[in-house]
Amino acid sequence: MRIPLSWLAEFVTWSGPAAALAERLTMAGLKIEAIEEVGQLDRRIVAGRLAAVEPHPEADRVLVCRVQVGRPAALVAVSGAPGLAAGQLVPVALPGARLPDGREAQAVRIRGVESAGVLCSEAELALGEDASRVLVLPDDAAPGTPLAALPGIADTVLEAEVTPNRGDWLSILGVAREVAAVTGARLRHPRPRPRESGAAAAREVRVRVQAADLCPRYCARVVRGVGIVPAPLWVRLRLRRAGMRALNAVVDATNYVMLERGQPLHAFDLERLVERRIVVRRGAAGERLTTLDGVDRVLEPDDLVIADGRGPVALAGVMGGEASEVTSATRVVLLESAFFAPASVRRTSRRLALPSQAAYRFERRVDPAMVPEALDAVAALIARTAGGRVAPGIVEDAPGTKALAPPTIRLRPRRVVALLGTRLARGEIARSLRALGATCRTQRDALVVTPPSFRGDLRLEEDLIEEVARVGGYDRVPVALPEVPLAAGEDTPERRLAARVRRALVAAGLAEMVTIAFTDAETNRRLPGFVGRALVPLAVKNPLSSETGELRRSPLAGLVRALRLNLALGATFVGAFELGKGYGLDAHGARQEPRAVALLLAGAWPPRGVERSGPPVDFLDLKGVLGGLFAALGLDGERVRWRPAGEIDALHPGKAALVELGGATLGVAGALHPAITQSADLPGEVWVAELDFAELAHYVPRRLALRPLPRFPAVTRDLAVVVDEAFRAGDILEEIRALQNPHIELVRLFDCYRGAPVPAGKKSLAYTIAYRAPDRTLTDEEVNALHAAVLQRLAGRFALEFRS
Amino acid sequence: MIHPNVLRAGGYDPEVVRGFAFGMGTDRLALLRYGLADLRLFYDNDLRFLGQFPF
Repeated sequence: MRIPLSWLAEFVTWSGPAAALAERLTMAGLKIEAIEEVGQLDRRIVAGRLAAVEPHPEADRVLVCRVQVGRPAALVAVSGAPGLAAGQLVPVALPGARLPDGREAQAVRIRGVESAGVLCSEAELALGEDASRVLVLPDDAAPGTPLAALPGIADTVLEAEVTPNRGDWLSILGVAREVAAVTGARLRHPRPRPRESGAAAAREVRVRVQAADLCPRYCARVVRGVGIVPAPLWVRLRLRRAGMRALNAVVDATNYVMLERGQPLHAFDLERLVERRIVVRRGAAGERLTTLDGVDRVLEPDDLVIADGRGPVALAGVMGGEASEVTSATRVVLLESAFFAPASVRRTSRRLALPSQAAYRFERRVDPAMVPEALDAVAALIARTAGGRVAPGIVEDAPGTKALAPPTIRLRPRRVVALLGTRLARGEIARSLRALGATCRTQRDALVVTPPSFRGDLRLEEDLIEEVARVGGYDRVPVALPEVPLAAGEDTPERRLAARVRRALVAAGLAEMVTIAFTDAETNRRLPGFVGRALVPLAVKNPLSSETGELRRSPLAGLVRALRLNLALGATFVGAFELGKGYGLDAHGARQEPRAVALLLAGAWPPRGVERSGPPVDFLDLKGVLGGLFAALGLDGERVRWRPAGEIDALHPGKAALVELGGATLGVAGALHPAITQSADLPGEVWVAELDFAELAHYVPRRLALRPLPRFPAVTRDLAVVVDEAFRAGDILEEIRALQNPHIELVRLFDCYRGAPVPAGKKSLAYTIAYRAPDRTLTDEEVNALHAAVLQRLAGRFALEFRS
Repeated sequence: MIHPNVLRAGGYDPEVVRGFAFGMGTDRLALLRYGLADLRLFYDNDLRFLGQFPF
């Protein structure tokens, strides 16, 4: 809502700076978003009186004008514009003056005649749209007066954001009321009445409302003998500053009064209404109407229409019809002012995608008392600006006025104290409410309040209390903190575990990410992850986009997306993790949101010193990060098993492992399937892992179990075997551990070698075993025997070729 | 303050019980705290941004 302050000033006086007014209104709930200075024309653009106008001797259709600009000598200006005549007062841009578009006016020679000024159109001055003729100014200014000093030219416009509950703020008068209520200034509320003549309006037109629930009140006036001429400059300027276009004096007057008083109005060409009657009714299925914008529309029984003797002529409250619109041939105008039900107008407006300033106001409920007042105001304005004689009387059908009456609300002062927490005297409460236009009377210990007709949002005692606080100023309600007994809390085990997981992964060089829970259907299908792999995806009913159409089953969906973004930004290392949820429906149709630790590694590690880059990330790095995580959580790394995963959705079949602990699967780790990396345009391999957080929590030991330090030294022995390429090095480790020999302290793979002299297709694995007894130093014989038993066990189990 | 209709819908008598509710976007608070202007920074997960938080 745009509010030119010069217009506002007609209804309420504010003598301070605009910024201060904006602040007061914002604090009262009417947020002022911007303050715009308009019409600040260069002071070298002045009003000039055309003393004489003559054709140019050397050029056709060009005039030489002698212009009085308040100097002793008249100025000569040459102009090709039509419609110039002696006696007119027009804008003259003197040389050096800067026009709104940045151009500078200059003295020029036009076919031998020196032109010392530019006669301007309203478009050149940014005062209107018409660029085809010179702007003719109202007659009452002295020649030489800068245009910016003329009334209405320079102005300040407040841009307000009006909340949906305050339809009454959608007018200059409505804002003026608020200013008066909040500042204590006096509201001026003139109610212009037109001078009437000729036969009664009731003789020209009949009005009948057949849908009283959707249209409780319909009023009409008739104006005869109008001229379809441009509205005067002051009307056009105000419309423009308020954000509307000027068309002709009749339509402009309806828009002017709508902006000024909040009541949308419509003008019909009465002579084009069949049988000269108006029926307000619901549409019949299949009825058609061509609206003002030229579009032919099919109506429904839900639409409220204005119809004449033949059929629909307008969509009530939304848009008028083309057939009955005011044109240059219009002589008699029917003016409509009515209350249309907000929900009905909204429905029709949405269905036909026809937003309009009128619909906007009807949707937010207009003031029933303004219906006849606005009609009088627009009739008076039309008579003044377009000529015409206003027919006596308002033709009205108001079958639903009783339903429009404001409620009577009982307001208890103790309820005010209860809700606001501050004691207010009854007199002060009444004063605030009266300032808003409500009537109050005392009844025993309470106030009986009738809200004004323009406040449809005030229905409950609580609404009134809110208004009392608002008008007084929310910032003036005293501050008090609630006193509530609190008990000291502590983190849950899950939060503590999550913190430990975060610390461990950050320490490993990964960054924590929080990604959005939504993804597209395709990604969701391809990336089920681990915790959500058996869940059925949940689709969003009204997604913002197809990319956010489903809830992800795995946080990997978000991590992969973040990977793409970071790679596109030039990252060479991406290490990220997320403690997030996967979502979906389980086999019983119940909603599940299992929590996961998901991580992703791609690219090459950052350089560790004087090198261009660290080594590329590979599976052992992924295993190392997870191993570090397990260690940080106190899990026995020896008990964690890594099994080849076989077919797992989304992972590379040859490079994926299941992570198992104590017979349960904690999660998966591996390379993203090439189908995914290719379709997402990801270069190289992407290593990912996803662990079930709940399972992890289950296995994390509650207490540290410390081991006593060994008192006797260990003896180590190595073993090396040559095996097929496909042989799993971990099998040997497991087999040795399966011996469960208490004197075998440690087994570790320390070398994996391929190349001569190892035959092609095979590899050499080397392990070191540490033997130690708690109570003595083992002898060489004892160690040899232990080691031999190990070798024998291995030889019996696998086809191995031992190396010495 | 919670609207009496909402309290009633929740099974409370507005004459007996009152409530207040407020919401602050934690991400908006974070914007203020760190002097940022664009909310999307928190959701893009650009490592050059994340890496600036040492904790």
